[in-house]
Amino acid sequence: MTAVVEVVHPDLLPALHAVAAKLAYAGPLDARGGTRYEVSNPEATLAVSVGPAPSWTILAARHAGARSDTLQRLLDVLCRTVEGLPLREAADHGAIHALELLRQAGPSIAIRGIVTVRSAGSGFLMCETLIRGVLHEHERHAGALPIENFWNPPLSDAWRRKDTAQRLAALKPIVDEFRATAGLGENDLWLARIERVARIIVGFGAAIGHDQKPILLRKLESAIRRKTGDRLELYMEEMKDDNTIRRLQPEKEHSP
Amino acid sequence: MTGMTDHVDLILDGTKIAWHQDRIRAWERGERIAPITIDMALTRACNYACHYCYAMLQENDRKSITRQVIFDFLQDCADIGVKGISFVSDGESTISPVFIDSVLRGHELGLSMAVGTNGFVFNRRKLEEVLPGLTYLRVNISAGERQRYAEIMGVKEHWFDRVSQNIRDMADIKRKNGLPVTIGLQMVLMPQYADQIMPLARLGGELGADYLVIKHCSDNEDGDLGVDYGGYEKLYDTLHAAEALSTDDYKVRVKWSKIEAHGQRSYQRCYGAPFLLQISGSGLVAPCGMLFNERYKKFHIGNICDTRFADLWNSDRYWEVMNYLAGPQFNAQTMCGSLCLQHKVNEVLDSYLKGQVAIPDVAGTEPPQHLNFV
Repeated sequence: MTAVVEVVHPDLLPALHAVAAKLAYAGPLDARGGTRYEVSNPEATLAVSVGPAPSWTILAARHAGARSDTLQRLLDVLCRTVEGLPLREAADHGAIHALELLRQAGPSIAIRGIVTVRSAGSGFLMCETLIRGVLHEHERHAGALPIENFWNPPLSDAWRRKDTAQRLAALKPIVDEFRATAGLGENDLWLARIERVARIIVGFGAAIGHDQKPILLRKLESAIRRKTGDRLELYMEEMKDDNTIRRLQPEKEHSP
Repeated sequence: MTGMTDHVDLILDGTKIAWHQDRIRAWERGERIAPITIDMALTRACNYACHYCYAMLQENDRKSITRQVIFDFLQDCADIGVKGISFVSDGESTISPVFIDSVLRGHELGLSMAVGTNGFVFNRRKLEEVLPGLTYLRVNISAGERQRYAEIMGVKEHWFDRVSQNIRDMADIKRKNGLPVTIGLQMVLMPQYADQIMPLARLGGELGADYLVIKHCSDNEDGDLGVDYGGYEKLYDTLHAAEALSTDDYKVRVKWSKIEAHGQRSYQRCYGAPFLLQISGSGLVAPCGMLFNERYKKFHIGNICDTRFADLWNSDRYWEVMNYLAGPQFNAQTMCGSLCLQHKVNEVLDSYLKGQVAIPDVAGTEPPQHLNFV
C-alpha cells in the first residue's frame, strides 16, 4: 500500500533528532490520576491515562520497548503531541499532529504529493495503530465514543484576554520582522483589521503581484502561528460580486 | 454515513471514488495525482440572478478564458490523466462564445464532458450540436411555475417557457438520435421554495427529463446567504412525495445525505480537492469553489489564462496548498462554507484514514453511470 519502508522519512530525521533530542516521555506512567490503558505490539508499548467524560482528555502518555532509536524518538513526539488532546482527537489525528510537529521543525520533505502518515514512514502508522488501540481499549471499558469530532485547538487565554488594539499591537512586531525579512515596505503589506478574534485581514500594496500574495499570506500566517502559539487565520478583504445582473437585485441581508 | 451508498446505476447522492482505487493508492503513496474530475466555468458572468446563488460569494480577479486557453487546458487535462470536466462552477458557461467548441474538443480528446446550466441560451440547433459531446446536461431550475421561477431565479416569467421548451428539445433530440447523454434537472432548495417541490417534480416528468435532483443550498462559513438548515426538516414529507413521482424513465432524488447533515461536516481535513478540483470562470485554479473569493487568496494556485494547467498542477505551489488543506493547520469545520462539492469524497477518505471504513472493493462490479464525475 505505501512505498515508504523507513520508520521515518529520511527528510524528517534531522527534525526528529532536534525535537526529541532528549527522551522526555519514555518509561512508565507515574501514579497520576485518570483511567490507565496500555497497548502493546511487537514493536513498542504505549501507556496513556485518560481523564473524565465528556472530553476524555489524555492526561499523560508514555512509551516503552521501542525496538529502534528512531521509533523511540517518534513515540516520544507522539506522546508529547497527544497529551492534552481529547482521546477521540488523539486517535483520529494524533499521528498527523506528530508529523506536523516534525514538518514545522525541519526542512521540507521530499514527497511530491500529499504528505500523510502513510507516505511519511511506517513509524507514523505504528503511532496511529497504538493510539487507536488505546481508543478501542477505552471504548471496551467505557462504551463507544461519539464518532463525530469537532475538536479545534482553543485560542490561548492570553490572546482571548486582549482587546483588538492589543491584538494588533501583539502582531505588529511579527509583521515588521516578516516585512524586513521579505524585503517589503509598510506600503506593501499591512494588517487591516481583526475579525471574530482569530481572523486577521491583511492588505497588499499595488507593487505586490497576484502571484506573490498567496505565498506571502501562507508564510506570514505560519510566522504568526509560530510566534503567538495560536492558530490565527489570515485572509484578505472580501471581493464583492461583480456580476451586473445580480448587482441589480436588492442588497442581500448579511449576517453581522 | 460515508456516502458510498445509494444507486448502482445513477449515483445522485454519493461518490464514485471507490471506483478509482488506483488514484487513491497513488495519493496515499504521496504521488502527484491528476484530478479525476475538474469542475469549472468558462466565464464568471451569468444572465440570471438566482437568489440562492453561491457565485455571489466567489468573486475574484477576472480574466477571460479564450479558445486558445481552454483548448490548451483540455489538452493538458487529457495528457495528465484527468477523466471528466464539468462546466458548472461559478458562471453560466453556455454564454461563453467558446462553450460548444470546448465541449466538442474535450469529447474528441477522450474526456467525459458535462454541463450545469440555466438552459436559457440554447436552441434546437445548438442542442443538436452539443448533446453528442456530453455525458450529462443538467438544467438548474428551482421552480415549476412561471411566476415563482421568475421570482426565485431573478428573470422574466416568459424565460420559464423558453427553458421548458429547451428541456423538451433535449429529451426529444436524445431519444431521436439515441444519444447516451443524461438530461437532468436540479432544484437548489431553500426552505422558502417548498411550494415548488411538487410542481417541479411533476414538470420534470412532463418535459421528459431523466431525473430531478433536489439539493440543499450551500452557504459560506459566515452564513451570508442566510440558509436556514433547520428549515429543511419540516419538508421531509413533501420531499418523499416528490420522490414517489419517480417512474422507470424518470427519477426524482433528494440529496438526503447533505440535507440531513444540517450544514455540518464530520471531518476537519480536506482530502478531496486533489481528486475533484475546481476552477473559476475567471481561470483561477483554487482547490475548491468555496475558496474562490479574493478573501481566500492564500489558497489560490494560479490562473490557466496565464500558465498552462499542466505546469500549475505539477508545481510545488499546487501541492503546498493541497497539503495545507490535508494537514492540521486547516479545519474544514470552521474555515469553509457548508457542504462543498468535495464533501462526499472528503467523508469517505476521512473515514478511511481514520480506520472507520474500508474503501469498498468494487472490482468486478458494474460501474455506475457518469463514473468520471466522482
